[in-house]
Amino acid sequence: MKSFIVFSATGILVMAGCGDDSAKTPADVAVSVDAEGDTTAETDVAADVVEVVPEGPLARIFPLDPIHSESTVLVGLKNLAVPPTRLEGSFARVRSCTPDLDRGAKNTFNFQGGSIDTVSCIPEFKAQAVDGNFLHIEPPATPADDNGAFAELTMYHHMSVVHSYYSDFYGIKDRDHSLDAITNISTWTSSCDAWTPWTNAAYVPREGLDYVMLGLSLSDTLGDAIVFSGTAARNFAFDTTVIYHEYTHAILGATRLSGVFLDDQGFNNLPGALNEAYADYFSGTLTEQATVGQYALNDIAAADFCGAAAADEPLENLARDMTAVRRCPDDLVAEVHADSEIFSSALWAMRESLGKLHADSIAIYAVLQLTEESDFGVAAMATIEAARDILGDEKAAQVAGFFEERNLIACERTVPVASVGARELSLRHEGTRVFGDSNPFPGYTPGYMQYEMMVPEGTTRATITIGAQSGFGGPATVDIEGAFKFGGAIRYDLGQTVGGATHDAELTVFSNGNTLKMQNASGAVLRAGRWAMAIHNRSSRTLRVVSMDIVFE
Amino acid sequence: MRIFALPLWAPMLAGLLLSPGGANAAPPGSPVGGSGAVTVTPVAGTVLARFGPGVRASFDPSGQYLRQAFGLSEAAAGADAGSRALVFAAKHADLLAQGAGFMLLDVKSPTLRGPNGVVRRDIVRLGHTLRGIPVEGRVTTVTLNGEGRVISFATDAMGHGTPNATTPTLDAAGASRVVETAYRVRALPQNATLVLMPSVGRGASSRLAWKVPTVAIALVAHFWVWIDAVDGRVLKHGPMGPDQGLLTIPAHSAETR
Repeated sequence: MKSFIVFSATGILVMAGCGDDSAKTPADVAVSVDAEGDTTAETDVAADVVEVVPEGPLARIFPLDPIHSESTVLVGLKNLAVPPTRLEGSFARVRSCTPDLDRGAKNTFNFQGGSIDTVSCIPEFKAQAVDGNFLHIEPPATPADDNGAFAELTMYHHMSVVHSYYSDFYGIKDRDHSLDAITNISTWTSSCDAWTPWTNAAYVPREGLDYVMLGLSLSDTLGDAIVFSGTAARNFAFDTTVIYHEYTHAILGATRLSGVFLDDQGFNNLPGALNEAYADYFSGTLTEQATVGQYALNDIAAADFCGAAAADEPLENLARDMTAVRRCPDDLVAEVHADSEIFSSALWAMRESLGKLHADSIAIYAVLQLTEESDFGVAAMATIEAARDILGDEKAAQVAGFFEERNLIACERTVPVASVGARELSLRHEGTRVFGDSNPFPGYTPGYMQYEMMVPEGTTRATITIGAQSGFGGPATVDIEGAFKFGGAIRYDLGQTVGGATHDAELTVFSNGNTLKMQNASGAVLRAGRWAMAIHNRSSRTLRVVSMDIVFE
Repeated sequence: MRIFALPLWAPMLAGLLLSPGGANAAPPGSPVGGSGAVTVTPVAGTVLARFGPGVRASFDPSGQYLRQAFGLSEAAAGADAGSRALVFAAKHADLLAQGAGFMLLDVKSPTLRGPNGVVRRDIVRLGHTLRGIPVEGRVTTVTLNGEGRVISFATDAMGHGTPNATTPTLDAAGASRVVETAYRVRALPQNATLVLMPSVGRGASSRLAWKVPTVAIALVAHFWVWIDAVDGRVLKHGPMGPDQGLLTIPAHSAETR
């Protein structure tokens, strides 16, 4: 009888046979083992499983997260140093951050009109083995009881799982070292005299951690790190999908898909969106979850700072669902996580069509070929060609269909005005200070995307009213110009010198307020049909467009 | 992005001009030719001539720069995948990097699963260099098959111009002081590296710059700042890694995403 070793998100090795349907386990990758012990890959294994007693120091963790897992499960912690005392092993070293005003590094954080003093927390090993196991560490009953030990356990185990997925199964050896992870990060701030978590988790390159002079206890970090904070109620390190997402960022590294570059439509930040799309895809495929961040990102307090909500809505659902229908350019907002959903949904559709094993192979093959400045079109083509190379022309055509459905192959970044605000997200326009003296445009910064409107017959003037914010949700300092062109996106010519860039807009109007009036100087009727509008931010500050209304006269 | 010579996508491309100013007619074998609407830019013509009619390629929206090509089968000398990729890239440096040099960043040999078992591919990542100095944000990847032949590549081939200098006037400590003054944060000179910021204009020179890491809030907000190594101007700043909440250094205004 053929048997299967199932590589699951719990990291439990199970033997699967045929016939009994009583206990199925979600499997990310299945490897069939023949009589000689050779392994070949299989997909879509639907077989019964029998739990094998895990090897290694034992612990109990949530397979997915505290809400969506029925209970904790028993796991063996792999590759720990011998004898096991703390969560430090061949492929992961996990600490949680201790809030300590006396020992923490102190900083003064200057900004216009004032300053805030901050104190950083101190990474320390909290989880300690007892009799060689970690079974005494249980999920904290309340957030106040969270001393970091359970987060460390969860982190260590899932880092072992995802490391094995990339290294053992797919041969990607970049993280065959003890990658640092730090959980429970919080910062003391003088503005509220309290330790404040950050609603975030992140991958941080080595250079960001090597700040001995700041007094951080990070001089012993071994290289890059993945770091996790959360909200007052939810520790992001408890969410397996977030762990796999950040680990995938670490796999991709700091010099792939991190570029923001200029093309003939303005600034292009889609490489960052791709970085997020792949982080979500691999997190999802490994956990069998189409939605990433259901625990960490749903029902969270809205972007609070020092305990004060910075938005009217008390709850937000920000988990990213890869089955949601997204399309370019309609769903672009220039925020990389939100924009990533357009691409990750195509990858997920590919997975549903081809099966996880082949889809994962294609996605890995494609992403490794991408560069700093690859955008949606380049990544789509790389994926289609990867499918052709591995599976042939027919499957490549099928994969191409997923990208065509979302207009990802040759998307012009002109967002329909009607789509502005539809996702309840602002559209970001950088100020002049971000790109500094590398900006070739004279006195303004073009956006990551343009806008599109349909001008009706007989129109002599279009008045565009822009709802905008900047800073911590406050009113914007608006100093913009609107550039208008009939028929298609405004094209930029980067020119010969810094400051010498030009564009081919037909009409350009300036505004220090929230309205732009598009009209011919002669008062003649505007051509009816599709017009593109580019917002050129002349302010140093970032402008965030939250709404846009047009009146045609 | 515009694409040519791709049978799979030909229907979608009907009527798409590869370059309004392109001088050459579509070459033989181009499936998008024949309508009279499609012209091929000089660089596209070069790609076809060099790699054959089976090549499938894409270009930047202006049609001036090659971004990726597939369907190749080119031998390259070398003892391993990395050296073969370097030989290939150097041979085609005009197309891949506007004449820049290359340095080996890494080689990946993923275990890819197809219907007939494992598919062996080596994917080599090369950084661009000018006069031995790394060009910031410019990378080429070269993919080789199991026989060691180059089958595809992708590249950040946008222009980078001539370096304005190869020796800094400002040292790393000076660059760090510029960062500290400009943003009121601390910066460590020992972690600064010398790079060339590629030109953003068609003919502008690349600028020698110090890439200085800095931290606004430890473990929370980490940034790169690029300082002109000749005149000390701030060229650009940006978050050090993905998922960071703060996208700009909040030195003079507090901003979050």
